[in-house]
Amino acid sequence: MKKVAPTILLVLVTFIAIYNGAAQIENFWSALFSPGSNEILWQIRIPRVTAALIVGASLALAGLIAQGACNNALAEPSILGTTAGASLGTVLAVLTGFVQVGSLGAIACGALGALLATSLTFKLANLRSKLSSFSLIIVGIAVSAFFTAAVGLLSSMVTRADARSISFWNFGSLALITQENLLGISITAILGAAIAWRVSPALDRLSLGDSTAFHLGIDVPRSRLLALIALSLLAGGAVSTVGSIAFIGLAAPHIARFIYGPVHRKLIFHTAIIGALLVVAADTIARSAVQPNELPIGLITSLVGAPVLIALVTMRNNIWKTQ
Amino acid sequence: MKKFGVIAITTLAILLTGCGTSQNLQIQTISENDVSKISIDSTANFSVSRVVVLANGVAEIINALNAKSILVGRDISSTEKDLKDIPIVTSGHQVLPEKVIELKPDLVIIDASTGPRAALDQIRTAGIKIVETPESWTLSDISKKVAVVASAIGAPAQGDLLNQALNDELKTSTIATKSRIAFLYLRGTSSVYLIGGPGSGSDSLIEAIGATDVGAQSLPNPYNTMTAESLATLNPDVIIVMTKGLQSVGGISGLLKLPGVAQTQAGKNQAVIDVDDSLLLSYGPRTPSLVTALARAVEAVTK
Repeated sequence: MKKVAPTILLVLVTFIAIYNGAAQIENFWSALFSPGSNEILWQIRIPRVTAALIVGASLALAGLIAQGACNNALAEPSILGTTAGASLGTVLAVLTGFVQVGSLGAIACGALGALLATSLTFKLANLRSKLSSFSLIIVGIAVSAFFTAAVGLLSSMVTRADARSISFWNFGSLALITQENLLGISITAILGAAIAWRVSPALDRLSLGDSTAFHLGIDVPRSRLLALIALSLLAGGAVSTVGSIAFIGLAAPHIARFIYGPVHRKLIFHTAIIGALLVVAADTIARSAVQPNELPIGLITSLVGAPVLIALVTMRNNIWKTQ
Repeated sequence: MKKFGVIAITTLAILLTGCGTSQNLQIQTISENDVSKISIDSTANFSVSRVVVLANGVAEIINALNAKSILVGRDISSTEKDLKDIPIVTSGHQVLPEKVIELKPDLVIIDASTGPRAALDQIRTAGIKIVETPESWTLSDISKKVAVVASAIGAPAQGDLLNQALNDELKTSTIATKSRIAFLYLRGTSSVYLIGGPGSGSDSLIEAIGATDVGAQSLPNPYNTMTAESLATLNPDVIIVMTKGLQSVGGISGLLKLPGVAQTQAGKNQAVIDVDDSLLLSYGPRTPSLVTALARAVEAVTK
């Protein structure tokens, strides 16, 4: 029962998300089964819920891969500088005027920014000593802060309509999603998941430590590079389209590990389901808690995710090492 | 060969006319130049000779009362061309007390939005008289504001004359259209997207042209967060925005890309009216002319 609970919950929450909204849908059932019939349902609400599913799955998988590749329970796209890098890449690309938020070009630049920022974190954390969990997290936080400040400076200096606001980049929002945005995030989600699938056996070995993994026949640098590319694609796609939604990449993989154990191939599917569930639930709360207003979705995920982080720090040995 | 030429030219002509009619953008713009202001010519003796105005729309009223000669300082929101030689004594919307006192005014006019408080206290401490006028958010507020301003400068009779002229113009400018209109306050660069509700200021204008303000009809606050679904549910026939607000979301194409706009009747027909930012909610001597211009614009976009 425990193992199918997330999937059942996901179906249930997705239905609630499609059923509830600021607008009352007349003849909901007939509108639901005749695609395109009701504009509010099919052009506004369903695209938004679909985006929440894809973004949730992407961010959760990004977290899973980050934790596996760093062999670190606290590694998460927003802690490693990945999301801040994706934001900066996108904002810079938008400011050049060639791309718009949500387009494939913006996603590509977001993914590139994510890749560069995460690489920078790894490089700096590795400078003086062997890569330690502690230095990785501290350097990641510093890199994130620096890149976030750069995003803030750029978006407050420039008055372009599509550059979005600092609040969007910090807390995320699915309010501006349209049908056209779904293609880009689907592509990055599928590509990222495929690479994750390929690299996941290596991630299992990496959890035994770099040298053991090497002796088990794993090309450690190559596996880590592949994982980094998957991480950047997944986070870049999600962040460049909906901004930073914190803690999904942290909470979802840990919930999945708790229920399904440590094998990465198995975890890929379940982590994606749990991530999708968390984001759809958070977005539904964000748009219905204070109607007719909306809250930034990152506020909701932070309220839930921060306690998870604290729990992990205090019980880290139990959760990470015993499984 | 000749036959082929005739066919080619005919086809080209059909294509060209086809293109011409399909790209008929509906958007209407109302700028400062499209409205005229009501003013009076009669002269009077005023009880004050140096007035600094720190209240939205009051400088415009003083000018319309034929009392521009006593105006020595103004706030940033008084953007009328006639007033451009009069020094601005605010930074943004913040009053700069030193600049005000330096002008040696014998009267300073403020309203409830003027601030900061400390700056006003400093002006008072310098022994300068301060009069607070009511803010105007509806057509009926205009005459009250004019009366207060006119008596503050010691010329209540001028105020009566101006009010008479304003009311005469308003009576003739009301045109009945049955459109359902929404006012959107947009500042895309700061991610501010609001729908005007009851008391937004736009509701009184929309009512004056005989149309319905759909936001005022069903939303709770003067300004409400615009969500895709709430706007699509209101489904206005016409959308009114401020000119700079429209620019801030990337013009008409940017507006139509905001979720929810494309699903409205106004979005489908591109029935959008943009009005100069300082004119739309000025509720002063230019408002009767604005009502006429707005009625015409609504007729044009709903044709």
